[in-house]
Amino acid sequence: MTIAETSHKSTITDSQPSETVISVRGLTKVFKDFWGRPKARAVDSVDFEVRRGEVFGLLGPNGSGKSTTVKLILGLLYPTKGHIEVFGHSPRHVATKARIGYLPEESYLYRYLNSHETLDFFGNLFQLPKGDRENRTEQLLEMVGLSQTRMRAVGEFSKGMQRRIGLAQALINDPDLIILDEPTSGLDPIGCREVKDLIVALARRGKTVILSSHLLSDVEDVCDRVVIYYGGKIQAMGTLRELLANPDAVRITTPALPRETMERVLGIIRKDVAEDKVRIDTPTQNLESYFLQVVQNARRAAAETSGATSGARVAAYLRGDSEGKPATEKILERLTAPQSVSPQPVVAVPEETVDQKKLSELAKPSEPAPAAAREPEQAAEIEKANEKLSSLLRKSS
Amino acid sequence: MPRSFEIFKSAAGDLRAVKRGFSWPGFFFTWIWALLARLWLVGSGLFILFLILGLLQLALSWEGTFVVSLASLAIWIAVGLKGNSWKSRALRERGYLYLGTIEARNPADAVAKVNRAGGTIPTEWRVAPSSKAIFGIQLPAQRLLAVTALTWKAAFRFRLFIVIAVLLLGAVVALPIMIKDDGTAQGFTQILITYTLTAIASLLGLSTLWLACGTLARDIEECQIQVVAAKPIARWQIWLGKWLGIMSLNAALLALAGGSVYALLLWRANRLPAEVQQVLRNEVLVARGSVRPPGMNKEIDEETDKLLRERLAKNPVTTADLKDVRKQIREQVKGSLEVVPPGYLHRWEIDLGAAKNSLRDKPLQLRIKFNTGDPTMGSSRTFVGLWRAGIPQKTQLYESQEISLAPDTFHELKIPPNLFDENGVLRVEFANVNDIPLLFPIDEGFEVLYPQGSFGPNFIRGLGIIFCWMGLLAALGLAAASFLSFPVAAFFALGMLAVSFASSTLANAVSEGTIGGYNAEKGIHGNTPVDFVVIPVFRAVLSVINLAKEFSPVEALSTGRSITWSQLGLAFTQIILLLGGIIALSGMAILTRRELATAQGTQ
Repeated sequence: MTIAETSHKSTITDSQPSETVISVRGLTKVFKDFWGRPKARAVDSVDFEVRRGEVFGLLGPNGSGKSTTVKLILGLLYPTKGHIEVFGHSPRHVATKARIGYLPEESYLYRYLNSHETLDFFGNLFQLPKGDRENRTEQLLEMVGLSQTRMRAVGEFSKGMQRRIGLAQALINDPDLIILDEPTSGLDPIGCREVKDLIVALARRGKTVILSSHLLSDVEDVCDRVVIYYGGKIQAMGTLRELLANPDAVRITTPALPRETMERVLGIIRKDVAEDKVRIDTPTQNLESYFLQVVQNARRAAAETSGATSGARVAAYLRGDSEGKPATEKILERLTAPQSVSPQPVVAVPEETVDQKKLSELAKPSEPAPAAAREPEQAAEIEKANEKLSSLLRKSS
Repeated sequence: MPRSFEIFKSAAGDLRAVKRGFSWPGFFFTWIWALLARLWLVGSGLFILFLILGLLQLALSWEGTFVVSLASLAIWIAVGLKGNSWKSRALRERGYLYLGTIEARNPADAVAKVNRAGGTIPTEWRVAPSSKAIFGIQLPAQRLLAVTALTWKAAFRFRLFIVIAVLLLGAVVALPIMIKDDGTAQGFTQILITYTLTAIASLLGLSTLWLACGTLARDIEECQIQVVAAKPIARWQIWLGKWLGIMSLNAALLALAGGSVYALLLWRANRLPAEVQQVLRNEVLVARGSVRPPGMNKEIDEETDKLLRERLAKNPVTTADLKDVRKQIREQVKGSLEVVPPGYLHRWEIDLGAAKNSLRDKPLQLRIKFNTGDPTMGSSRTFVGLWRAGIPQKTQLYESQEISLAPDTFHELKIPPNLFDENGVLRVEFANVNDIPLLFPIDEGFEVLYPQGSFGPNFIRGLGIIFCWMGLLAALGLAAASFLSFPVAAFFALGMLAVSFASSTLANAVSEGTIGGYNAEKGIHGNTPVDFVVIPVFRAVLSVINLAKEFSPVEALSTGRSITWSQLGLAFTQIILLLGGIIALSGMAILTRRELATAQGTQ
């Protein structure tokens, strides 16, 4: 977990944007056989709302109804019962789809098109003018690390590369709502990290992201709120803080302390708590951070690869940089940007291991930070959250 | 359904909303609409244009009228497509400021919405700016064309286009080597046209069906359509885009194959001696109009009923037999009109109608066919006849020498010019100097052919009708793929095609009034309760099939007959707009209503 992400999460949770992007009420989907007899109840009386700027996780084991829910939201399946609204419209409203980006659970792309043609085709479906299509295609290919393989047919790609081009097509329209179904499946750890960074960057711009996954770490790293599915029903729903908080325990992390200081602190604690309830250990990095560090070192040594390269920074238009807009327009945009979209300052911590440059770019403030006064308070909160999640990661690994 | 409106504000704060997209009032009322919308220049330009077209329409012949009508239609569509952007531009030129584009039910609703918001447009109401125009046309075409281009790419990347092109060219090159003919240049050319065009139509028809079924059904099965349908493209646009893709592929393939046939015909013709070439250019490589004697059905029915009444008065028959008796009498009456007994004359009077004005000083051709009414005579011998054309004392007369002709085959006799009277009536008589009667079938026994145009344009119109058939097959394949998986859709579409090829069986059943044969033991025909249901169904199916099958471009081209623009227009209307349109609408409706995903991913 990086500080950039944590800071984003706390921002969203604090500001609680209220505009509803998706509203699902009493949603039930029963698959039927040829004769109309019920075969499987994939989704059962599901209710939830997704608000603007949220990263919303659909979590659950395989076959629990996550993908079905996603397809119902996209109008690819029709509900047996219940009601769905996306941006206030039915999921089958064609014009609304101009605001949605969708990455399906598998690569459902045309195998005979190359990556450039794929993005150009989808750009045309959004009626993007030629110049915009070209710009965005170049930026996206660069971002997902496929600019070296733009002329190769998608059908020849590895699974991870297909995921990358799939992700690129989902973002060609700079969508307000991004629905990602298992976005990290088949990706290497660097790819996973980049996807998560991207999600955070998008959310920072006020985009809404729905992330469907059975990988707990994906959801945990980036989601503000989650629903947990099992057997088509929602078993739990809430913010990660609500779901994961353990109010009966406290964790203190400090730099290494002299033995005497430790003894004194423990002595004080033992007065109130039985000895067997106190645990002392040394924080370790998680495997992902360690792996990224190793790869980064290798890259510095200029190792070559024939596969997908590590993606570059997030495409400019997705970061909110204008596409050839005049400077005055940019200023206007900044002034009119919603408060929740404003990025928070980065707080550096010693154990940070991921690409610093990229993260600072992601979190680069595009306006004078309005929350600068809250910096110390927020930094403490961020550090607390970071610690908590790191310990969870350790537990899960 | 909400639509997008561009909002403009004047300096005085007055708001105006202009719909984005197609302008239906513009389409229907063109210049009147333009003037009412204060587009003075556009309105007066359109008015003058329509005035000129109207005058042209009065001055021109039938075919010219058709072209003028097409031009008018093109202008209507252009005004529909561009009308709203002209309105927007006019408002800008009048000093209105563009505020943005929002969704609303109608212009009044759009203006009211913006007024409620205090004369500004909140960011979240804004709709993405429209794309730049393609070829000056601004419409959902960008999406349609994207799907069309995708179909082209698929056809090329899967090498379908190349394979079909090679097969078509192979057929054009190989068939002339393999076919057998009667040894004359005309005979060879006729057979060449028939075989190559039939091969092209069949090959292209099958590939069209296959491609149409495959392109959509596979997209659904392999789930690519899920990603496409999650974009802002209506499903009918996906459907139509694919149809356009297949049809543009067909157009290219048909142009390639048709062009090769045409080049081959001309190349072979140019290598013939001059006099043979002349005959060929008069009889086959030409576009000739045709006039037949008026139909006699009414007279035959009246005579049949009269004879039937007389017969019933003498010998009453049961109701069950009545049908058969009537049929027999009708055949007798028809036969009596067709037969020319030995030593008798048979006369046809043909009204050339409006064509007479252009036929002065031009030789005409008589296309005739007769039979002996006696199968044992076969085609082993020929029969002699004397032909006379013209009306004594009124026109010049032409009398032939004794001409010996074989039965059961078509013959063409050339007659000199100017044998018809001032009303355009041509009288032709035949004297049977044989010892047995000869029959000239009413429907195909006699026909007058006259030069109407050149072969090239006629050939293109013929290909145009084949192209219409392909349009229907593409619609059929796509409609089947809209609700069936690939192999099933292909079989379904091929099955439908097979039914249309079996139309003669259907026609037999309908004319006999039963699907069962005659049961000699019981003395009854077929199965009455089943017939009660099946025959009307057959009749309906047959009339639908005939809408597409009544055109015979291959036969017309091989016999040097003209295919007029109006025939092509009719073919387009019946085959593409009516039949294809119904099938397309059903296919689009099914695709729009169906679920495109399953829970399990790949279907």
